Amino acid sequence: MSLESAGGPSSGLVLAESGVESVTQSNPPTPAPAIAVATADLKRPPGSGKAFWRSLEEWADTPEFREYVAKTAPEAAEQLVRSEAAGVDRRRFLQLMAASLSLAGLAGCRRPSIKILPYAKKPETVTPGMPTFYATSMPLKGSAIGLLAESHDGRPTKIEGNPEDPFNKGKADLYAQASVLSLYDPDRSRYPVRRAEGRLSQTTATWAQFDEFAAKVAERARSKGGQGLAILSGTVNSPVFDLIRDHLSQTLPKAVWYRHEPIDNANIVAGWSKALASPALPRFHYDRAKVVVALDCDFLGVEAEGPRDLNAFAQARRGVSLGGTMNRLYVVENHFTLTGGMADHRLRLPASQVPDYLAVLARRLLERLSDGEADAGVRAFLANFTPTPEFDADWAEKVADDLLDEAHKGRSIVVAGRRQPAAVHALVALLNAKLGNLAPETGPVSVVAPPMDAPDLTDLVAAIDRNEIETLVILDSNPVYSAPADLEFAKKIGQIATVIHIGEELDETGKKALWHLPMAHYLESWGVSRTPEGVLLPIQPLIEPLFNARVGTELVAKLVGLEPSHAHELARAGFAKALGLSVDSKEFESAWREFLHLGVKTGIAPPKPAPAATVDPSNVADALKGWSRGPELSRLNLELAFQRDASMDDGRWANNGWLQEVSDPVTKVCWDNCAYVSPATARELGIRTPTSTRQEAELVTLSVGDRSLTVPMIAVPGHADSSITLTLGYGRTEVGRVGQDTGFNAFLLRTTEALDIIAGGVRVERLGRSYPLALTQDHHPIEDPGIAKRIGTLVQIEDYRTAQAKEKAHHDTAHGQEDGHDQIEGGHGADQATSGDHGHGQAGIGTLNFDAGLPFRYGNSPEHPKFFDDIQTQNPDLWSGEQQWGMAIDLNSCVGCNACVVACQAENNIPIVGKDEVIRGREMHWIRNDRYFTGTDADDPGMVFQPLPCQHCENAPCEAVCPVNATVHSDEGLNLQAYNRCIGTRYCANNCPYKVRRFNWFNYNERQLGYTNLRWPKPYGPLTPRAMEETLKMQKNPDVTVRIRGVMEKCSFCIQRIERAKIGVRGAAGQTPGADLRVPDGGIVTACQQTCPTEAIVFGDIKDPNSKVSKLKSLSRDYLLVGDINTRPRVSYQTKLTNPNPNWSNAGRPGGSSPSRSGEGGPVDAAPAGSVTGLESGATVRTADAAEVIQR
Amino acid sequence: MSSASVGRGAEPATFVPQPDGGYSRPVLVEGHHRIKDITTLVAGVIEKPTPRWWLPALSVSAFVMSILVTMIVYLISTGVGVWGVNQPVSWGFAIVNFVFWIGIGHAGTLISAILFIFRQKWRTSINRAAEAMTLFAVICAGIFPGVHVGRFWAVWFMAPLPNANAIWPNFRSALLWDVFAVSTYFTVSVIFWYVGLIPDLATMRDRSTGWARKLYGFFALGWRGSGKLWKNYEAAYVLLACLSTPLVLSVHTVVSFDFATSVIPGWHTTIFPPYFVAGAIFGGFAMVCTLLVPTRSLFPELKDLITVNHLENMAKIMLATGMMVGYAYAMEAFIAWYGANSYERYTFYNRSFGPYWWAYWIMWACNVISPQFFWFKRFRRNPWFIWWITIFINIGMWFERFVIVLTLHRDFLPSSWGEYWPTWVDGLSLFGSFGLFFFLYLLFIKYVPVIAIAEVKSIMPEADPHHHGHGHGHGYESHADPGHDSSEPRREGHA
Repeated sequence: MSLESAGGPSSGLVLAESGVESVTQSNPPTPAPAIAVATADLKRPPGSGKAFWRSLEEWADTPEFREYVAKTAPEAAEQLVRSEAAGVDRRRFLQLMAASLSLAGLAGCRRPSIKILPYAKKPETVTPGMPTFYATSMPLKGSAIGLLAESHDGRPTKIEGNPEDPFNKGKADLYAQASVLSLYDPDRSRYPVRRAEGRLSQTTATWAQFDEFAAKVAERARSKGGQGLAILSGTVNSPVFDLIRDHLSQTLPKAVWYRHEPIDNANIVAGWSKALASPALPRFHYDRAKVVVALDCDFLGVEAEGPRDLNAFAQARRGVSLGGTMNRLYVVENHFTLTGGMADHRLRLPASQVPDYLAVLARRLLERLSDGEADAGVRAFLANFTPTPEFDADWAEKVADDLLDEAHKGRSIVVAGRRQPAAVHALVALLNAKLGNLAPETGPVSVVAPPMDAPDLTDLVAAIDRNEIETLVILDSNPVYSAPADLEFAKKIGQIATVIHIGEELDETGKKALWHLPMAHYLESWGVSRTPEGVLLPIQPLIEPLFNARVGTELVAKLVGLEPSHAHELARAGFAKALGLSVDSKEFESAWREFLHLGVKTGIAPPKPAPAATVDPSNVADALKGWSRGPELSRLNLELAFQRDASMDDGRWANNGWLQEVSDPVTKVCWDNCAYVSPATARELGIRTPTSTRQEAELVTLSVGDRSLTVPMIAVPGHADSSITLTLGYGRTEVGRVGQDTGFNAFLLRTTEALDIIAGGVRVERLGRSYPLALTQDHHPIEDPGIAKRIGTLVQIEDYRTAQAKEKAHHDTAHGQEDGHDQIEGGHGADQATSGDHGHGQAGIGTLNFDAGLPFRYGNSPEHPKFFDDIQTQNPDLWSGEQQWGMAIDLNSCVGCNACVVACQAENNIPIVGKDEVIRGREMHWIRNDRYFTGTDADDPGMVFQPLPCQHCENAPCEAVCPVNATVHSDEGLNLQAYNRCIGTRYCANNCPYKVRRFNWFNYNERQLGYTNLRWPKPYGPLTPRAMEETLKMQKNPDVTVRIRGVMEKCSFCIQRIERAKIGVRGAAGQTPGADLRVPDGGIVTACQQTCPTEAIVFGDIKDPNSKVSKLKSLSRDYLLVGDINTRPRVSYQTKLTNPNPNWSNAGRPGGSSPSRSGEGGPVDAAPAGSVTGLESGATVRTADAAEVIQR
Repeated sequence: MSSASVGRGAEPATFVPQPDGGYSRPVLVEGHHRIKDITTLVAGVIEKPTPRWWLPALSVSAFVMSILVTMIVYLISTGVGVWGVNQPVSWGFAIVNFVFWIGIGHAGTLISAILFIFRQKWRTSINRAAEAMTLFAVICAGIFPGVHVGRFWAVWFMAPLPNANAIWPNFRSALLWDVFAVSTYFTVSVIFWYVGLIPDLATMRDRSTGWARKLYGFFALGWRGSGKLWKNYEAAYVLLACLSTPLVLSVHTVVSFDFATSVIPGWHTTIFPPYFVAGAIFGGFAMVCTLLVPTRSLFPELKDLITVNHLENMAKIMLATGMMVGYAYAMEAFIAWYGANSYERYTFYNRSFGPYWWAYWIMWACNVISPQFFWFKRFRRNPWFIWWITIFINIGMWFERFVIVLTLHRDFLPSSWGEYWPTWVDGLSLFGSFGLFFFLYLLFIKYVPVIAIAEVKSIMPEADPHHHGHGHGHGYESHADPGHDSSEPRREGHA
């Protein structure tokens, strides 16, 4: 089907061109005809239907009518718009849909248009009730994640990763998962807004008025050759932008394109570019590295670029389970991050002292790797360098030795975080080059050209000061909120005559602009995105822009006078340009179709070739000039480090309820940000940390120079002393109802001179007031006997070599030997060389150790066949199902990124509950991500994550106690919850040992937005208005019930996906006699599993011994959570492994973070005495003051 | 247990020295009343002009009760979230209040049924009020589990009704047993109480006029006091007592199963049934005293019937059951340690020193320490001192249930540990339930004979056939014909 342009966006109809069949089915996807999405004209507020109207157009209130009114009677237009509150009711929605359809013909008088009619004949690819998947992509900062968007009858409901994406491999992160909610956000801006001449307040306008204005802007720009025109955007990387920028440089050469990315890679690019003497951005391939040294770099958390790094790291980490080896991770950082949680050795160090450690490491490395004269400058610098803190011999020498190990040659990564200065990155580049890691095709480190080269905000402000800017077009950026405070951008923007802001919401910047234009969400847009490697990914719309928005590229094209300016044509033209084809050619057409169909195009040369991967040490030596040793920090001279928020990013997700409610993976704070310090520093400062969800955090004022900010402050175990971490992205002022009153704006303390790390001089003043923080997990003291005793049994950690030996023994016994236990013990005992033996084996398979939990297993292995048989004999009815579902979660792969939590929320229609309800302990997540600190030293613990869905127990405690049989067992082993039957006694939730059941305390789905935060502390009552926002209804998955208040709910193992797969298999088998009706392994993928970047979650048939889940369950690392109470869960975990450096001086105690010594409880007791001591060895670095305090 | 052994503690005032140097049965009614006086005395409470305090007291309790109604309306219209319950503490005040009230509801039936079967004649002065209290407490108790569910309108799913979907309630669930146990208990208690009331209602009928006469007459079911009626009445009463006796033990046993059949550390324990029953009797007697001490002060004429001996007997029972409860607390803690299950051990550590340590120690102080005063006769025989102690016991018993329910806040996985704090709705609902309780009790003392007239007469010295030279008789054998000595019913009976 050819795509005639749908004309102007106001009447345009968006057509998604090709569909990809459900990924769970093996049918080869075929290019599909268009799915027409009817105009969703959501303009009429509920209950405000006009009682009097003069014409059908007025009654139906079409955009055309609006334009007509605006032309003839502008005041009336304003009134029209003002009367529109949020939302529209269902009945009116349908009426308007019908009316717009019938009136579409009128629009046709002006523009060519495509009429949309209901199917007279069903299109081949559309099965009512079956979702369709479209390949698209979500642009990141200069990169993109390839996605498959699930669409139900024209409504995108869920995001999955596109398996064709060569980097992300079908995985999606939590932002991509949550982005579908932002699409339907009713607080998005709905019409162009302009500030009339000489007026302070903004009024609404029409697109026609804007078009008129845009033509003027374009005309003026053309007449001046672009003089005075500036465009400000985030880091964009797309052939479409190439088109626009080419157009600019050709027709408007004096126009300038600025870039503002509040949290970006500028330091990394600067350092590497310096070292390589050419613009360069490093790419790290963690799957190829055996040793990783991460310096202040949370590449598994807030510095991850989508799921790709997590996926790659997990591949190299997975270890014995899949017959591989296991990498070793050293982390030096100030705040406990997800990367720190995975570390085998972790050194907590203030961020401003991390370079000191790098210097020490580099000195040691370069002593051994020196090539004589070339790096003499660097070595001379390092030789004279005295680090501020002292590093113990292990960290100073053993890390370097490990990197230099012959086995790790060219197979290691040294990586520094984006906060570290450019000089650090230059040195890191040198080290990687010296270690042989920098090998473009096969090595763990490669370089590409940075995706976007443009002057930044500082330059823009300088230009404004020089009065050079007449017209500023801001595309999808919010500098008024996120610019460094010293630029005073809010003030500067007022000096520009014409500011045009294009964005999804009327944010801080939009409010200051002359024009604000609603921008379409990426799921409503046409476009092409590109990764830094040059891989192209399409952006396909799945729905007509809901809120009268237009695509960003289209608007910019219009403002700079680029023709054609329609987004679809722009996308095609951009893609054609990247391919070097003509848009009219036949080859292009088929390439385009294939592109949309697959969702990816590889093998195209990036616009700028990658720089040569050679580091010039003299450049590095040059970069090191001006490097000074880290500051001496103390209670009175604190450091402040800014961090990207794990949910809000730089503030762009502030109105996304799912992201607000998913808590920070480490600190478990949601709906807010706060300042984090170490427990020791908190004690020094006298800050009390809430130990329960009901206690409030203390408010402090952080002062830097003459800037100050009031934030709550809490202690986080494992944080570096004398250092404060503050996350960016909260405290938005012009934001929708969800993001209102959440958090504190850390950008107010951020200045250009110390953008990310303020190295000292930060003062903390206690205010004596407290602030309620929503914590989804209590901050219990680690020494609490209840914690210390059991963590080790809940999240089990083994040494890699121990596990390897066990696995081997396990494997040996699996072939024929009856009595495997002794063998295992023997194999275990033979592993004397491993001093870090933590004795899980000794806990004794078959011995009943209540603290251990380990003997309780589930699987097909010969080691524990009895348990498996037991269940079948005891409950033959329950095992009558053809297939038996189970899940295995590998704690060694899970890094705790929370993508599963948000994916589950999107798939299963899980409501958000709001901050006050989280404080009450009523969050609804069906899968939660438990975070445990391990060890007994609160200052320097380890960290383990444990994703916890419903365990689907065979002996389910919940089933026995429900008085009305609302929760029952299926013959396929599922623990089902019948919402219709549930009366809400909540007995099941009480009796659930895992506390995975969630209760609808209120009608959460019907609460209006804004009722979720604390602005109205207790907004519930019989008279509280109730209604789900109309657009939010569109997000709901039609395959899953939206629960009413008063019923219990919980993880269903995505039963809708199970049933769909079963129906598919049965449908395919038809009447064939004797057909195998079992769903093949991998045919059912739960939502959490599908998105999990590290593939830690595996679901499948445990009756089939060859399924992946069965194989995982028969590993010796497999264990059941709280197995000793005989619940016999269908979910089992594989222990986390650590791979500590065997040469570490205190071999049993590789460092504070080595989490294997998990306190006193459990099997750890059985470990050799030597291995349970010396927790402190990893915590050698303390600042002078802190050390003093501790001695006292 | 003989009557003498019960009476011994009450020696100076209650034993009548006999010529042979022994002691006769204790004097249960003081003040040298004649049998006829008893009727006048008890009926007088109803017949005399309403005391000045009664209407204001009724109004206040009606107001407090209306708070409960308002809270329930708010709860049902809005959602269970108006309470402080959460994950992991899905049960809060509602279940605490339920167990508290149902526990109180034990004393009445115990006094009426078990003491009746064991021939404890001192029960007669207090059984009526105690039974009434039972009913009111069970009403208060029944409200909470009824409204605490998420979908009140679907509560009927609990009933085993045949239906097209063939979905039955889950007979494995202790909560369902609870429904049956409590409703059975309530039904039997109502019938037992009502059967006991019949002769007295007839007395009231005969003494009143107008609509009151019709009303009493309606409920008196045509009682005429004939010998045959008395015979049947006695048989029915014994049978009902036998039926009630196991119920007294079973109800709280079943209530304890709500906890004991779970897997939660601190709940999953076999000591719960006896411990709950002991606790219920303990708390029930405390509440009986809490009510009777003011009642006999407000109606001083009843002091001769509800004597200090009665209060002392109850104090002794409280001392005994209080120590049983204390033993249970200690044994729970001991087994938690001895059992070496780390979850169980931690639960008790956490009860003692966790966020709710104060509740645990309030429980110990009120339930175990405070009854120890009853070792001393001086304290046992001081009504207002007893009353104060019973207030502590009531508080302690409420906190016992609070401690048990709050065990939920820290179970297996520390990740899901939480805390529970009640909201104002929780607090007002508890407060309002006392309004309901006192509202019903005030109506009861005003319109129903607070003391079983006919039964009291049977234990008066005059009723003792011994006086008439018929040899040693035990009161109840001769009970068959108390009407001979009682004036009004007999007159009616002979009419």
